[in-house]
Amino acid sequence: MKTRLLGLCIGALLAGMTVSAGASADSDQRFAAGERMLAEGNFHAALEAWDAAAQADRANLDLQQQFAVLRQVVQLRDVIKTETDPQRYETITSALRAFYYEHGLYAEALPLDRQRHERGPSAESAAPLAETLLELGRDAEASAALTSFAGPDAPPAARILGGIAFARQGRVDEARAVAAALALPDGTPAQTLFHAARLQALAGDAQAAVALLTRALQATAPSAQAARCSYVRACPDFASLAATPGFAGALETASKVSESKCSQAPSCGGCPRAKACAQAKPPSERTE
Amino acid sequence: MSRTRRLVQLAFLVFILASVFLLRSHAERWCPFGGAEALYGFVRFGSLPCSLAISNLLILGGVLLGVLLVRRAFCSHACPIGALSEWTGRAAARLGLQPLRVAPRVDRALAVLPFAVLAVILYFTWRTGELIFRGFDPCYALISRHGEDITIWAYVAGGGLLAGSLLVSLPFCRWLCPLAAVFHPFSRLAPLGVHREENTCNGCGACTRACPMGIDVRARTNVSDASCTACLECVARCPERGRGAIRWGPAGRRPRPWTQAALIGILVAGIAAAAVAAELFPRASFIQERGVPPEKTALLDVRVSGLDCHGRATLLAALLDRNDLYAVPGYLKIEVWPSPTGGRARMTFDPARTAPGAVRSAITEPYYDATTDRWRASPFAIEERGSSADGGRP
Repeated sequence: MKTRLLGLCIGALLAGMTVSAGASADSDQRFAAGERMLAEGNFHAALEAWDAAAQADRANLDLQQQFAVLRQVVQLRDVIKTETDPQRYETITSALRAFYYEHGLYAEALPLDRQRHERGPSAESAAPLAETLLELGRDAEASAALTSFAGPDAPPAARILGGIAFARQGRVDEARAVAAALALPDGTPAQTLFHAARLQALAGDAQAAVALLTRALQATAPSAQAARCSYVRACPDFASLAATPGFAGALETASKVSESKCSQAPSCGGCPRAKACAQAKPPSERTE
Repeated sequence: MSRTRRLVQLAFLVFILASVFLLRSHAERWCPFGGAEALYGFVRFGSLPCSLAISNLLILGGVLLGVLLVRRAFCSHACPIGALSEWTGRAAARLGLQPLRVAPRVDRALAVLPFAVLAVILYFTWRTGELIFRGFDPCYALISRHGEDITIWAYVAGGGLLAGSLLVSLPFCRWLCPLAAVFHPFSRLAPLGVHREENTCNGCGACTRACPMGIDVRARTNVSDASCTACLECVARCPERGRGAIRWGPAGRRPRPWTQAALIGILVAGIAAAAVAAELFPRASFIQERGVPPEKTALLDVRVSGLDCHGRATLLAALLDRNDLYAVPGYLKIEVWPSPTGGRARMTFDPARTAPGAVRSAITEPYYDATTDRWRASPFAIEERGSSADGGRP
């Protein structure tokens, strides 16, 4: 009797595991199909696929999360077409751009960056446009976009991206001149340091590139480091560094950024932003 | 007298331990010193540090009321650290280890230390808005069941405290306790105290030897020292107390001795009144308001899992202030009671501009974090217990 009961239990357990594994495999397939649809620009079909994936594996919080984000993105893509409030427009375009970059959908980011630049041309709007053009391999267009904004007085990000565009077009001397003129003090944003490392790699100064990459990773939030490192490994601009001593070590660099654990930790006992929390201003007074 | 006090001490300690370990309650919000730490932030920003609640301020008020009447009786009857220190010292004495007598001059010099400790704690707590010393606090290590931010120093401090109590009578209570510094000015004003009758006192000095706080009772007729914890050991040990050589009560020409029951009653009444007030008037520890309330408002009162600290309350407010699909336009008042066991949030909003469903979505949907340029998951989930209701002008 006992043996039979034990056998039944093991059978039920195995059946449960099989069903669970089957559901997981099914949801993985649906999710991958959704990703392909996204890459093709078919957001509604991708949303349906991710919805099905999330339904198939309800225990997978990451899938639920990805679906919820895509659901917002699909709606935001419609909202942005008619949005007139400048602040809200800026928030929505930034949110959409972050999603596109996270999924490598640079072709989707391009019209957004172009529209933003046309609404108020400046070095600040030209830099993201050039960045996206570079990601799409349209280097000459990137140079053209920065023509009026990549002078010596331009922000470092615009100058660096201009330098990358030069190097990619074979104008290495001009790229080296941009790299040589750069001064990137402490507190320079991680993204700017990262592009500067790219520029140095393309300009042929491997040591400077590795040093800048180290600084960039130090300035990157811990939770964003893995994505940044995998991008570096896949980016052809860094290919020349593969044999450089210290490159592998640079990719192991620990972050020096204190990151809020508000979305992860169970309490704020050790939260580095506790001070900001305690002295938080009412929403209407907040400027961030 | 001493036995009664020890029973009261034991009752308080058992009550605290049972609340912490059996009922798994969030005992930190009943700490009176938490009230002192929270006061500035509450007055200045209308919010409290993580894990604290309005109950801390009310308990502090109740205890201070008790101190105003019966001096530091809280220390000798209710404080768990005081009880453990005293019992440790008593156990050492039974083993033949007599406590060291500290010279009055040294005692007076060391008595300044609690004020320095208090100043340091309040300065850094108020400056950072966070209970940054709690990781080192042995009492917090106990009542948080070794909370996640406890450091090894909390146990070192706890061990040091007990080790010190083996050698000297109540060293922490006399020379380090920051709550004692808070009590000091109130204790001085207390009308009740120990009084010695010079005519009947035989000058044996038993009262001075019995005082665990090192007060030279024999040298005073009215013990007005702020450090007196109203433990009544001096009264209990006096061989002439039957003749009225020493008594506890109000000062006056016709002294009428008060019973110890009155002292304990006042102490317990102060604490109980504060606890009841905290339950009857549960003021949120985090409040933010935006805009002008319309004629008619709606209310969403829900339990929110993940809403366990002040930082999370700030995040909740940020999510409700989002400027995307889930924006909550118009008037908005957010009241939050964060708790490690799942907090409560009450949102008052304009029903003409926002539906309750939109408020729920704003709290639980993923959001774009502009500071890190990334999409993040909301850590909150709404537990379907709360209520939605229309309300008038709040």
